[in-house]
Amino acid sequence: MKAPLEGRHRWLTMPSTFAVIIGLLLAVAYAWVAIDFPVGTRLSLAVVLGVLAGVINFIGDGFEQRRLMPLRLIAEGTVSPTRPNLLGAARAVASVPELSFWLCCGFIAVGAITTAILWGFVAEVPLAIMLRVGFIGLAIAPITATLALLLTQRRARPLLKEIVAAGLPSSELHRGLPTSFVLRQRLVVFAAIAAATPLLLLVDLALARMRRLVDVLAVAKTESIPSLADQQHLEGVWPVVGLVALVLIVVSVSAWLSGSSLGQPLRELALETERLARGEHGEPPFIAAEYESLAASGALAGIETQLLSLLTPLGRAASSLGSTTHQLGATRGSSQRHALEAANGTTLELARSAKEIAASAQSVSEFARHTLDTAQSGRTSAEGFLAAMREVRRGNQAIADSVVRLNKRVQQVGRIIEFIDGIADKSDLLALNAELEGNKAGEVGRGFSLVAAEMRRLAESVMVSTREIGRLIEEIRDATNAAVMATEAGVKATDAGAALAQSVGAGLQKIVEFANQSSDAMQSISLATSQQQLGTDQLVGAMAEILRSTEASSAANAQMKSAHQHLLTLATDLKGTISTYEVRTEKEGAP
Amino acid sequence: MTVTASDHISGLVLCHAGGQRLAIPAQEVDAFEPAGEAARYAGAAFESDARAPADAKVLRHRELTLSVDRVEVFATPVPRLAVPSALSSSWGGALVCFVECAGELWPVVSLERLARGDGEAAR
Repeated sequence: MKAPLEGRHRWLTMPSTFAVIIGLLLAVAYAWVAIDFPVGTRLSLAVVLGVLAGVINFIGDGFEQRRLMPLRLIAEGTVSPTRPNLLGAARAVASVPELSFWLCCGFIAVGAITTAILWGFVAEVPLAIMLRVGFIGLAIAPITATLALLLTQRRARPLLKEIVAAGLPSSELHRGLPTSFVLRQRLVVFAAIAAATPLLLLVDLALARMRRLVDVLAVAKTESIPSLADQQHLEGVWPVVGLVALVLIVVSVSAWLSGSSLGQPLRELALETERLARGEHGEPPFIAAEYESLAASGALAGIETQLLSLLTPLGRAASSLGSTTHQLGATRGSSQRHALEAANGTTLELARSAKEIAASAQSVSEFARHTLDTAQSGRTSAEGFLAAMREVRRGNQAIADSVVRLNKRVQQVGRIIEFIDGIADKSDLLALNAELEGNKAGEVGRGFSLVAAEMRRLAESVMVSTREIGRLIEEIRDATNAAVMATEAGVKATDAGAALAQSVGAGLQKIVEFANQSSDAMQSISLATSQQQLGTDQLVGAMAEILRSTEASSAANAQMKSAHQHLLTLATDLKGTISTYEVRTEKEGAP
Repeated sequence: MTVTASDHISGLVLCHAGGQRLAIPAQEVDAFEPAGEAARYAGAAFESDARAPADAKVLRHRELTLSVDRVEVFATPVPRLAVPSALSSSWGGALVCFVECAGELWPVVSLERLARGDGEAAR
């Protein structure tokens, strides 16, 4: 699928190239007929002209493409088609026709002069012929540039509409395009070019033919002059006729393009104005134009936008006023008496309901009393539970204290055991030394040595026992630590239980208070309901009195009805007036 | 050390160190002392990285101290067993003889010779 605006930058500048080719053909044809080329110089002129035309067209196209760079970037997807980017592209497109005009005009004039000079150097032609070649280029340049402008303009207009379709609101485009009030000057210039171009060429051609005839007659014999004149006349008439026809065609086409360029936007403006007059409104379409026509198009779009902004709320207001008036009339038409009768019936129903409410209130009062008794019983139980939890907490605390004391005692025993172990160790060493000394003493110390050995065994036995006791103390220490932690956890649990019991007790206390208040409130309701029943009976009597008064005010209502009818008529007229303006949405208004 | 005419030896301190057995003449032991870091551990002679336990006993002979795992005094005379020539330089020449006590073979090491060897080595 082809992307929007893709390739449009090339498409827009093609007409200027086409106009240059037309101008070139016209110049070559004229030069062929009007100039007596020296022998062997035509080919060199064609080569120089062709090369220069190609170079100049390439350079001119480069200028135009540089101007259209914003459009090209959007078409190639290099920049996103946001509103500022689209507006920049639209400005570039709108300025290209004028740019093409000046580029064609300048480059053809410069190209003609350059061609004449280069050709003169290459082919060594006389200066007069070089000047005539340059003159032809200067004479052809304006009409060629005009043709380029008008053709490019015909393509720029639909391209601007494509940019609007790509997402640029027409109102924003109208505001963003520069407006210039130069239509009169442009028409004068176009008319001057259209008139001067054929005039200049025909004068030049006549002078050239006259010079040629004079040259022929100057060297002719007297008796052959008539026949030579006829011959010259016959030789020159058909090329001249053809050349004049070609020039006239080009000028006519330019004039037709100029007229249609001016007329097309005016026709669209007329159609849009007619649509506006018929009351068909919507998002104003973009009418592509130039100069004053563009300003008129923008002004008309502004008027349509402004009118649309006024008509939409006005239509809503008319509709709202009509419906309100209808509702007012309908409301006014309904009888107040009926409403009062309905109110009377409602009051009777209210009286019946009051009796039932009184009975229900009595029943609810009994329930509230029962709830109060139950809540009081629950509060007593919660208080008992709280006391039990406090007792458990005290017991747990006592256990924890006992275990801590036991742990301290065990640690003291451990220290004593360590002391005994140290003594046994030293005793073992002493006994060992005694056994050694007894052994050294020989037979004399044998008895001493035996006693010492026995003492040593006892000391070792004590050490084994103390180590066993130490191990047991370690186990007791671990167990008492675990017991301490367990009793601490028990204390915390009983604290939490006590807090919960306290909370439950407080909640039950509140329930007791609420139940007490409910019981009192139910008794008050029962009393109030009885009073309400009496008041309702009095209300029924009052409603009957109001009903009678309402019948008396029916005459005043008739006058109000007349005034409301008048207001309804006014609202209907306003709505009809507004409905003649058909407000279309953009979607509906799209062709 | 008391050597009888029949080459018997009596009064030995039987030591256990690093799972090995070692006998020392009781006459060469001046006293037993509680464990100390300065004493050389006899078990290190069999296994270089062996360390003395906390309840080790220390044997003192003049300036020389030797730490062992466990000791007992053996008073019964036992026959001296000669040291093979291949083992004559063991323990720095301090190996005196072998004895059989309670059905086990024990090397008898002289603390006197051991102390003298240390002194010569120090010189």
